[in-house]
Amino acid sequence: MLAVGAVILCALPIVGLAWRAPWSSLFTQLGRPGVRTALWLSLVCSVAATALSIALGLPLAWILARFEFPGRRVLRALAVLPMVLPPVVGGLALLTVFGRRGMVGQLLFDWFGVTIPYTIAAAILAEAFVAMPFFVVTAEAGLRSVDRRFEEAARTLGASRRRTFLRVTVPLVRPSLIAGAVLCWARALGEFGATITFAGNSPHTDTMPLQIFLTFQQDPGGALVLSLVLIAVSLVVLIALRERWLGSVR
Amino acid sequence: MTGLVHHATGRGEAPVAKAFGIVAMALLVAGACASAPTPGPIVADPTASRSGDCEPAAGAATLPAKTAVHGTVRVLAAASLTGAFAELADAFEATYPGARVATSFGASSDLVARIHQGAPADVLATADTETMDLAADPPDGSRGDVATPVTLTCNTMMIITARGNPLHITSLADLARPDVRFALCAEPVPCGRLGRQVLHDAGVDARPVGSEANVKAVVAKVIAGEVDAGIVYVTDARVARPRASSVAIPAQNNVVTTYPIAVARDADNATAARAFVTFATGPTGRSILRSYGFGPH
Repeated sequence: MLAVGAVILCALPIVGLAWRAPWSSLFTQLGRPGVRTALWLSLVCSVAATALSIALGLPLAWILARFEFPGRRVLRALAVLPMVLPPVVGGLALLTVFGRRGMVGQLLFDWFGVTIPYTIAAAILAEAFVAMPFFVVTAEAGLRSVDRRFEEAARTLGASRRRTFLRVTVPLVRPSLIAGAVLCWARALGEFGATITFAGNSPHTDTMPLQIFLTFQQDPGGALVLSLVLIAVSLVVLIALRERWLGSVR
Repeated sequence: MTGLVHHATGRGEAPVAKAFGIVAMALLVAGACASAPTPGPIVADPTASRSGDCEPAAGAATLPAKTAVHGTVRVLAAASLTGAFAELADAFEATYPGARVATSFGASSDLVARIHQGAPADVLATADTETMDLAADPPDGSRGDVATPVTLTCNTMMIITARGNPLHITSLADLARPDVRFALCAEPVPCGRLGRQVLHDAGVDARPVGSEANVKAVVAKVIAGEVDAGIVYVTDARVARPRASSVAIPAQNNVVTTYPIAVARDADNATAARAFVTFATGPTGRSILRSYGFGPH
């Protein structure tokens, strides 16, 4: 019976949203200039944030998975903290560092006249901050489960550390890496709190979630249509992921 | 007073009653105002003498008896009313010990959208009549979410800059300078529409770097130093001092926006809601609003 409650809690709002959405105006809505930029911006930012997360997160995941050192638990806790942190707090934290009066931001502004908030870089940073842990956690789990004998064999056969990692380890953990990247991307796509706090509302930072928030004030129906687009994207990703990479749960 | 800006963008509830003194003081001020009306107010909008309908007519409605009002009255109000309505709520609770005011502040457009989606509310106060009209007569043709609105007060716009105005911004035209980064409210929000109108009327072609969700967010970004300037209400500029400096916009380029207030159609506590509207548009409400810089200038 409680399971029914769970289904109602999770699925009913989605059904309600689809029910209320003005389907007839779907294409008009998608054609609005603000919406197209938002969609495009969302795609660019989420992909860039995922790339950043992989570039920085993979080495971190590797260290966490392979090395025993004092403070590893603390490091892991710090690395996954954004997963449980309210995004708005993450946004404020980013402002204190990368804002124009922030530790790093101040230097960037004084030396190069560069300001990060209100730029696409801010939106990407905010999304990466929130989404990277999803990649790190999944990649670390994958790296831990690798049979290390393959790596040792490669090393014995004379492959360098780097070559072993790229040609043996990465192919072995590929399913985890892809799953982590997709989860990370999906989280980045939906990012709202850190983005609005750190990046602010501007033509360069209004991703779909921010656009939905603003559209809701003017045109609730339009906001529902935009939400449907994000739901569709998320569902497609989730279903594909389940089938192909996360293994069958049935 | 300035401390109140801190919960500006949140939806905090007003602290439970404390201020009998405020009421007493407010009544004194109200008395003084009534006997000596402000001579020759500067009308900021040259096209219409709006100072007349800028504030409610004095002494029109009578307040219900002390014991007739009880329970919680949920007030949704424009972000710019944050400080004034927190004080007003205290004064109301002091007058009606059985009543409690739960305030919720946000962009007027957001409040209207929330009421339309069925958010519980007894009273709605917005920063312009256009947004209130959307609640009174929803564009989707459904029944109005509020009863007939009445005029609460009015407000005009002002430029705020970083503390001490380091970039020497002296006019709207300075906002178009390439070295000046400024923020407005987002377009659906009244202060966003008004800010853009002010720039347009002055013939200034300046693009904001940011369009914030409500007026308090613009103030916050200026104080935090993320932008150099912003166009906000005179009342917000006042609350932001001394953490931000302000630059007046000449009357011929400025706009006056009228704040309406209305009882929600589905108000659970209609008696208290009506009492709150009468109270807010009465002498106490007017003097509190004036003390925050609302009303004719």
